[in-house]
Amino acid sequence: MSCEKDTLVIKSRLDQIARARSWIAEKAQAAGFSPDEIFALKLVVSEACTNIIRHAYEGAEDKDIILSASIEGDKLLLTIRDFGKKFDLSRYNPPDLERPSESGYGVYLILELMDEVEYDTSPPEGTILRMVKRKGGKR
Amino acid sequence: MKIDITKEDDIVIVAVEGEVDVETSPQLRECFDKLLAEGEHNFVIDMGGVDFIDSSGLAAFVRLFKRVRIGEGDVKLCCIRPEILKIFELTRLNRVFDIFDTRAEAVESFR
Repeated sequence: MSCEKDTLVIKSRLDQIARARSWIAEKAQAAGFSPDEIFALKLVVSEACTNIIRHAYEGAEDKDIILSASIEGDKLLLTIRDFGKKFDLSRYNPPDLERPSESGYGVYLILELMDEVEYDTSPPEGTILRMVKRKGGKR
Repeated sequence: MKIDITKEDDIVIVAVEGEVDVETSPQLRECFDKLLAEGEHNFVIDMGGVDFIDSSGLAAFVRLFKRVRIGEGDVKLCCIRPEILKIFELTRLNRVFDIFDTRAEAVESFR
């Protein structure tokens, strides 16, 4: 089964993130993903958008975040695009899980909950976060 | 998000409902800070009504835990939905907090 790509554009404000969560949940539910998988997708969208607002756009509220999702067989392909400061995954330090922390779980959760994750910093501006969630995948 | 606070002896029970995310978690942090300032140190957080939590929500609980542990208190969590419990497991915060199936069990654990 293949579905047309759906796109949502939100502004870089924290009050827009719930809208992005509802959007991905609707898409995943329609495609038959489990409640656990839908929760994971909502969490990943939240974390990615929060990071973009805080770090890529450094709090600027008038920038665009473009989310795209499509279904290919048992996979949901999710892309989140920003035009701010680039995120370099190779410089990312995972949290020390032996010590409870008040920060640093966002990217860790994205990497843990999605089956494939790629931060593409090749565009002239910003980062394209490409992810895949499979039905019955790793989490 | 809705927060309901009740007391049983020296235990404060904070029942949270709705979505605990980057937008709403500051409200939860403020609530915890106010209770700490009032001298509360034994917390039961009833998460039965929480249907979504992100890392900033987790951070609010960790922050409370760290502050409470400076004194003699503790933070116990209860009624966590399975998909949220999984996030506690992934971050290993399930090893930090005592987690109970019911509010009564969480309250009893302080006695």
